Amino acid sequence: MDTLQINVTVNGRAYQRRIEPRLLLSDFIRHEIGLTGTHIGCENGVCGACTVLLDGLATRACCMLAVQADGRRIETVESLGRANNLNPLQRAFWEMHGLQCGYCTPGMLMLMTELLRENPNPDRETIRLRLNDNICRCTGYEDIVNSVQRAIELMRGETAVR
Amino acid sequence: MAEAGKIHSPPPGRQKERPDQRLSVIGTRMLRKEDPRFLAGRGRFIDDITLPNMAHAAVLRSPRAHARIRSIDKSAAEALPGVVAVITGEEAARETGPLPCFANPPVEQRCIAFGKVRHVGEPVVLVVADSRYLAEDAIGLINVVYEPLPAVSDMMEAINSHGDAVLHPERGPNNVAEHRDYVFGPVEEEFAGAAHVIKRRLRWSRSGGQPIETAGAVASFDEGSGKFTIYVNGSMYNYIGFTIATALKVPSHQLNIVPVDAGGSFGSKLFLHKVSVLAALGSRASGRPVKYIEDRIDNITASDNHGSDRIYDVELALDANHQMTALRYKVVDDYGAYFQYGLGTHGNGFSQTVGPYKIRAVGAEIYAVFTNKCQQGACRGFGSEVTNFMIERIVDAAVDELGLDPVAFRRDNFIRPEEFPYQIPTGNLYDSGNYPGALDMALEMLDYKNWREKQQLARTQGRYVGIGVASCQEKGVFSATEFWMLNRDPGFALTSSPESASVKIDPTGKAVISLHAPCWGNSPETVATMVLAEQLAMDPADISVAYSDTDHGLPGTGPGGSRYTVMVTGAVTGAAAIIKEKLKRVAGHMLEADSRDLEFRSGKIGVAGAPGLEVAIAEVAMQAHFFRLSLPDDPELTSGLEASYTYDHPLATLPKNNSDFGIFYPIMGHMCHMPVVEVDAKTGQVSFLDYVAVHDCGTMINPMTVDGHVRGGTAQGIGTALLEHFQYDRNGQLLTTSFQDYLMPRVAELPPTIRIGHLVTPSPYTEYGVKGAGEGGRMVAPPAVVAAIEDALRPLGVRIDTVPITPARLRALIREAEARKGPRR
Amino acid sequence: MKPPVFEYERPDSLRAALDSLAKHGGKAKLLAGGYSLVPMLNLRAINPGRLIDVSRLTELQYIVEEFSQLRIGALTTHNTILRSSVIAANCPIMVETYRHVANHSIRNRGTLGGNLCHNDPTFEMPLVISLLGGTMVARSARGSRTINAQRFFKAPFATDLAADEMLIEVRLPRMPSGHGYCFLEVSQRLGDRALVAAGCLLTIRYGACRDVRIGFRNAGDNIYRVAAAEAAIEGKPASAAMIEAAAEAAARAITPLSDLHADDAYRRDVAATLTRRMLRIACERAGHAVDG
Repeated sequence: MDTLQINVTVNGRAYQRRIEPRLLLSDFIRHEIGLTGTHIGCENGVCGACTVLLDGLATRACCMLAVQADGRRIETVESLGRANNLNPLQRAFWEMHGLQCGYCTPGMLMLMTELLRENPNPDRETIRLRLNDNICRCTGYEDIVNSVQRAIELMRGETAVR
Repeated sequence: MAEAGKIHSPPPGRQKERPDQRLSVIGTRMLRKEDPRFLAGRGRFIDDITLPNMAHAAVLRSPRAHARIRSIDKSAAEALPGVVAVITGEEAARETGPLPCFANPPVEQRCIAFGKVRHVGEPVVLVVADSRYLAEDAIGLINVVYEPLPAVSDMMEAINSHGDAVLHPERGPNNVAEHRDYVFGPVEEEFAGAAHVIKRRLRWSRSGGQPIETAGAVASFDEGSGKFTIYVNGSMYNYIGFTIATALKVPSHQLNIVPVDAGGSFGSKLFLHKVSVLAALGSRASGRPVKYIEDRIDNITASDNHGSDRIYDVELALDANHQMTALRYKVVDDYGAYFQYGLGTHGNGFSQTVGPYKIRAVGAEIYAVFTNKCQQGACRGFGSEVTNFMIERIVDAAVDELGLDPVAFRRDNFIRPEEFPYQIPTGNLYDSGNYPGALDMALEMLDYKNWREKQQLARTQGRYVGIGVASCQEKGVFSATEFWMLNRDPGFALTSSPESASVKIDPTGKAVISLHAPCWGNSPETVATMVLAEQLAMDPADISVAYSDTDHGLPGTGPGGSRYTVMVTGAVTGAAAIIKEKLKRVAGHMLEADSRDLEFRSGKIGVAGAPGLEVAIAEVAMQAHFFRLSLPDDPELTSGLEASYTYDHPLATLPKNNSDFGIFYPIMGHMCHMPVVEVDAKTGQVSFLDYVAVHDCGTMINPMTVDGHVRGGTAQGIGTALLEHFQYDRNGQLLTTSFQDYLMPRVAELPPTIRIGHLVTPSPYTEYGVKGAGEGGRMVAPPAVVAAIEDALRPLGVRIDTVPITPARLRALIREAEARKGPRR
Repeated sequence: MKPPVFEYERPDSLRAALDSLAKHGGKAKLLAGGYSLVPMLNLRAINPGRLIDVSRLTELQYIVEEFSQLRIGALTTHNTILRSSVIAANCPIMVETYRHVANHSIRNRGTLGGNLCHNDPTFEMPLVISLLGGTMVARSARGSRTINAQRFFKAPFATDLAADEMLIEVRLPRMPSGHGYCFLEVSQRLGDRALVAAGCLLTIRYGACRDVRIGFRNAGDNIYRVAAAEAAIEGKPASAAMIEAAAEAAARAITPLSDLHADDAYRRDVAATLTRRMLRIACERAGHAVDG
């Protein structure tokens, strides 16, 4: 089977890989690059667990071929912070119990990262409307909304989201 | 027969830690231990496990609901480069036994369908290949010839199935899996003498947990040791994991099951026999580690964990004072193609079958039927959420027909706060509660009177606003008797459902707690840490948590049935008690004080009342580990500092007979939900204006995580009430095969906020008085929401007896009601 | 749920894409945003053989305002259109509709052209483009042609495009300022496929409704501009009675289907309700609030 070479920047680092055209971006990120923080829920484009940022835009990695990311810039949850050095959005989720099983969380974080870059001070309705993109089965969403509001407070004391 | 009422000589408990003590860690909103790794994207979920030379499996799913497998031509698949093994049901049946089943007699289910397929999605062939992509390519090359059999999709028809339509002919001539009749108390008498009898037919449709992560396993077989290792995102491995070994036809000590983080479960990962056996089968056949992860279609069609699917005919007897005296129901439950938990979901309901009310007699006729659908398993509530729906709907029916007030009626029928512990007609016990208190708290938080006034005003404006009231029980901590007590012949009548914890303190004074059950969002690390920190007055930051595989595991039944927090609290408390004794002995020796005079304070152990006389736990630990010859010469005082404790059910008794099941689920929480909804009567759409949820789960270890469960459970309950439905057509074809059609609530479908109130009636039986809280929201939201919708449409006289109540269904009911009322002015 | 094997190319110009289409025709599929195509590949519902990735043809990403029309490049993303002040000023019905189109993440990459060419019977944009009287510009190696909306949206999941043709532009006549518009959708969840969707456009001149367009989605086989409903209002003063007549005409004329989420009776009923509601809103927006 034919393979193609692609060049992708993931979390600021350049990668060159030879892959099949049919390889999904979600599988590329998880298994070619080895970043397993991006999770797979449906492979149908509905749940949003696989949300990453592609050139800064929230994108469902399960609905994209990795070859389409050639020359593009991808950001995954691993770019936000480390377990012992979480960024303000992550810290806010921690403080406000914005996660339970943690599986949808990376997708939520990336979705909200895009929102807060677009608009550093969205109101609750705006947050909810954007949050409607993704499904969480554990939290009932309210604590996620609260987390984003807390993140806005934390970020006021800091520079822009990384 | 178990007489309903207060138990005057309550069983003695084993509670050591009283609820009313001063606590410094327990009860706080401590941030979770689990979060940093999940937030950083560094959780360890099943698909994150990679082993060298690992291959990938996929399953050819049956396209047919019911058929004999005539032939399988797998030659083209086997020839595809990159394909390592292609295994049919016949081959699998040589290498594996049936999957574990709690029903007795068991119903045989194979990891790969053998001889015939019984539901759409059932595995027919397992393919192992270098990648999942290739495995799916290979599946496309397999040719299966089926001989169709009549498909049964209607549960009422299933009762009368015969011939080829029977799924399990060895079980009987039709598709009745079980038919039981139960009488708890003087049912006939009460109905005969009743002043009022209220009747309803109710329909609870099939929904399911559908966590965002599916089930999966990674298995490897070590030729050198002859040992299997299976990583799986399920639970109960340290309880009945050996049954997987049996299914694999290997000795149980030649199987090690390793837990991983699970991305949600809601019951569906309770015991993942099938994916474990499939992965291991693939591994043995291919000589390589094999990963089998269900994709979403595999999961929706064949998770083995659909929820209850019931039709109830229920009757309620009331006396002349509007006191409910007896409840009688006939229920038909569509179990799908197999019967792994037997009638367990009905036994579960028996634990709280009178709700919070003083009903003194219950009669139940239960039909469990087989149909060509995915089997039922565990879904948040495990059947008792349906019991709650039945009770609250018939209560609302009585209120409606007798022209009563929904709040006053409930209050008048509640079991009173002074009547605990209370025995219900099935023999189970309610440990503590304050149902009027919960109702009052909800009324106040909602500002019920004000909403009733707003409702009146809205009606004059032609708007349909409704307030729902539901008061329901949340059982916690099942006893193992629940697994077999409804079997005609009990079979393996186990009575243990323990939970263990191991605590190690290292020479520098840091603690590691080992848990023997997994994390699936239920905050086990946080709970265990908080309890140990409380017990030892340690800094939670000095505690970490590990998870034991079966090689190192102690008995651990795992999360489910709202039991885990209670049980792990008991286990950690038990282990802590042992370690504290040893720490005190060593510290006492170091301080030259009597160990009985010592207390734990701020990471130190010191003489009570003597602030200067203390020594840090770290110093004591160092001493205990390394300085044996400096310690008293007592052979019991061994080097080291660790303890394990297995905590058994705090209060369980054996069933006596079929009218008295003993105490099997006594840790009884309670909820009162009051949603306020507005119905767009023209489109049948429902939106939330307010929502109050009062929960009593006894002492809360961490109120923050309890609130999280309340919100999440309520969201699932709202989904069950309005949206979620696995729909099958008459031919057993599943119509809702993806998240496009199986609709779960997003944020827009939920109330803008759920206002939570906590009422605390501690359990007299558990450590610290904790009760379960995991399932509650889903167990009360459905009747509460349906009641609110009915209340909104009261001017039209709409009655809702089915969930989910989708816009199309609701609009149809409204149209019918309008037609009954005559043409509009 | 992984895609089958296919060949893949990414032409770097429209010309190259058209040449490839000419060569491979029916055995190739165009890949734009991918949110319709890739899920279908994951389900193995289609097996295209070749994908021609046109998602980077920036030459087809534009919104141009001309004297009598707007021209939108087929590969313009939904969110670009949603945020465009030109669209907001000229076609506010598109902005209103976008609230119901998929969700933000999908709209980031999903394109108008991809949406229209997929013509899923529950997609909203084909209805809106039809109501606006849009014209599609198709190009192939053989040349260009324009196709009006009625002809373009041939059947569910099918358009009038030949195997070697690509949709390159959507042209929308400019709507008069102060026109009335409304788009309403009933779905089980916000952003879901519509149970029924309805849109209308009209202008009020000298107290009478002119140039009335009323249509539905998922209320029949395809796009549904309901002439009978439009006729009930066309040329008449906006009033509750006229609106009622239009609603009844719509309910009689449409042929909705039953599916697992709603039956035909529901869809018919809701179409009538949405007609009443949207006409009121449209009239109010056109400067003529309807009493009663």
